[in-house]
Amino acid sequence: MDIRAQISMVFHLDKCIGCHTCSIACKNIWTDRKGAEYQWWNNVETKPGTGYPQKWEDQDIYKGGWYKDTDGRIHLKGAGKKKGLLNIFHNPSMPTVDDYYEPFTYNYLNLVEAPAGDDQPTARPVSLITGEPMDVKMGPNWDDDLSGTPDYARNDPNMAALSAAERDAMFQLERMAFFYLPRICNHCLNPGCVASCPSGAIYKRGEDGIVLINQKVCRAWRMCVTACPYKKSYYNWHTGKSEKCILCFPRMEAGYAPACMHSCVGRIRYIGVLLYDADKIEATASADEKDLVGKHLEILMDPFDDRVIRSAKANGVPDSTIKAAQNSPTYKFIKEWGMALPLHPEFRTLPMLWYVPPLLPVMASVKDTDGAQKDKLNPIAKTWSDNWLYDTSTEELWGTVEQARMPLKYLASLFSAGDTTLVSDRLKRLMAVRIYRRWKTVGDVSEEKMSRVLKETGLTQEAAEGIFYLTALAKFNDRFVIPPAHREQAMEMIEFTGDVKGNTGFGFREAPSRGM
Amino acid sequence: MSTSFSALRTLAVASVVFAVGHSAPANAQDETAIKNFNTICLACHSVGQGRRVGPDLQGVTQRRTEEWLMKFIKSSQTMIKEGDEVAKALFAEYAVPMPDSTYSEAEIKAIIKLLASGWTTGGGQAGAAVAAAEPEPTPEEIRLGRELFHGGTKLTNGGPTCSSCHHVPQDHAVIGGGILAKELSTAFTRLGGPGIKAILSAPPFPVMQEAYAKRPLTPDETAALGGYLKNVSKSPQSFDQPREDMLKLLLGGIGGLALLMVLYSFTWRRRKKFSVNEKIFARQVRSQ
Repeated sequence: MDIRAQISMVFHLDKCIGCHTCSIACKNIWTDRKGAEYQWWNNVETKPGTGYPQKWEDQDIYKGGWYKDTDGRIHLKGAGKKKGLLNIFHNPSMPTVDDYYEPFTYNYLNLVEAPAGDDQPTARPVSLITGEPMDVKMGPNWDDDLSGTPDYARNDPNMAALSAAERDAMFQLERMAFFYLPRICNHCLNPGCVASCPSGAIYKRGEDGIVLINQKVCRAWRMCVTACPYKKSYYNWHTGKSEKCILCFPRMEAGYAPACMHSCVGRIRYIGVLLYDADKIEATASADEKDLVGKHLEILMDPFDDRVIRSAKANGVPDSTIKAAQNSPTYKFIKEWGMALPLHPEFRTLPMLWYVPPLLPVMASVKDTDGAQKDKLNPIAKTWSDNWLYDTSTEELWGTVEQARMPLKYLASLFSAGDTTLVSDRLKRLMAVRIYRRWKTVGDVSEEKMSRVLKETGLTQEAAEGIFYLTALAKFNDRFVIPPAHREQAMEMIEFTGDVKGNTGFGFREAPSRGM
Repeated sequence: MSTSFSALRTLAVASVVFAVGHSAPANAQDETAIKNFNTICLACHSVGQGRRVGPDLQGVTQRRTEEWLMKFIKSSQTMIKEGDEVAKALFAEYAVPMPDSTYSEAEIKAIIKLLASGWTTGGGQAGAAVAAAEPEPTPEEIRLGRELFHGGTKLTNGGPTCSSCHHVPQDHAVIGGGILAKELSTAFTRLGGPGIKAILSAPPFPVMQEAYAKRPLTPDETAALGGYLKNVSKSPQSFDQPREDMLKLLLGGIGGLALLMVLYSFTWRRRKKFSVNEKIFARQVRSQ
């Protein structure tokens, strides 16, 4: 057992309203620089949709992540020693700026400085790369809310899991469904970017598992851009170095939540420490596809277990971090309550950003109907003049979960490598908490039904209450349990503080310098 | 090389050896000294046959003291560095430094004694006569010599090709020879046929000794190389005239490029060729 600490995140998709505030907060702090304009370390995608960069989930195009070989070992799909050497002069699977979008601004000054003329002055778009006027061809979220051409949502790689009827039904007017998927770097346990870097510039911080790129060591090979299946490593064309989400580590070290989480309007984001067993990472990442999520959950250890605590301490994990792990909201969501799933576990990077799948939009199914079924419908069901049936009725308790409007198979393709039972488990728990709270506050649900629902999902009343609290009421310090960074100790590793101890008194008064 | 000519060469060599042997005193110690002299010194020095790379050694024991000779043979360069006037003058005249001897003091003493005894190389014949006796190299010999020198033909015993270290400017050269050792276009003029032969069959220079000790040249090769160098010395060139291969180079380059393009496009045939947004962009209306 080799217990280490990792900062992990949970995004509660049921609460995301798709406002992009997180993206803007991140952009304003980190990527509002030359060469980084196109980078969105945090972006919000509409699902179904092709995302940013377009079709990033399709690894036949981008060759990201790991694949399991016939010998049972995992290898990087598009990088590694041999492939790196073979493609040393041209890394062929990288996204180009056209796969992201060409960043632009508008010539606003023209609106006020244009000479008098017959026409209204306009603010033409200007490329942030060339500085020339340009046609805006694409943006980082042009598939937002299922907008745009059929090229976006209908080309979602996850659609492959659905039948033609299910696929078509997802885009029928008044029946279409979508949800938002905010994405940042997953700070994976088995990161492809770290494994692919020929310069050894990328590393996973020992104390909290944040994956960082050393800007002094990076040599612009851009293997990480290919190797990251989530396309969260970006190349800065101005500095000639790759950059990625740093999980706002300067803020974290000062005890603040990352900017995207701090600013989140829907309060969907949770951050906390998880203790994991580093010995089992390789075995976990090499597991069969159907076991990936289960094994991933297994290496996240119980922070109250004595053996775990002992091993963590032996590895130098401070008591304060262990305490943070015991209070971690992410441990509760991921492990204790079994509410969250990782994004695309089949990429085998063991992401540490987990998602509570969305129960919303309204649970209803769309299915083929021959018209004869109309007679069987109960009064709240609606029918349409064509052969589609929009059905919110339910004959049994979990009927709507199994036949949700957002097809389970689609969610499973996103969050569980195709295993629908894992997704429906999570959705049922979400629903069980609703039924429990309905029983408690409104009282129109029978106690018998409430107890049956909780029993079936393996939740207790306390757990349901805890889920309700963290979902709906949680305060800042409940959502963000950030372990102290112990910078005073880190300082002592670099210099001997005793040198100045006692040598300096109050010193001389120095006037503060202000202004530019 | 024709058999009759080979036989003639063998006869000539044999007659020289016989002549040298015949003129030598029958004393066993002297025989060893003669052998030692022939192995190393003969390449550059004659006794009574005139100047070669180094001076004729006839009467050298009268010109210099035994002590001086011993010191000079052991290490001439040390003497020059120490400022010996005679040694400096000799070096100025001959311009070729004499390699340090590898013989023991006793062996050197024996050779000095041999020189003092009035013994001569070439059995008392004058140098000019011996040179005249050298037959002119045949075209066949010159061709073989050129091949051997520039590495077109390998040396029989596997010794390194001359052009690894030496250079002789020649026409139609693709690559010039080495610059590690002396340029040899005037070697024949400087050394004469017997000198070249002696150097090739028993190299006096340490690096050459090392290179050819276990892989000596055959008499045929020695003769051919001598013939080639003699031929070269008749009209030494200052510069190489490279072969005119422009068309071949151009065609080879184009062909090679085409081959590489095919190979590359095959190896990377599954690369990402277009932006994933290609279709969307193609439909969009452009203002410019």
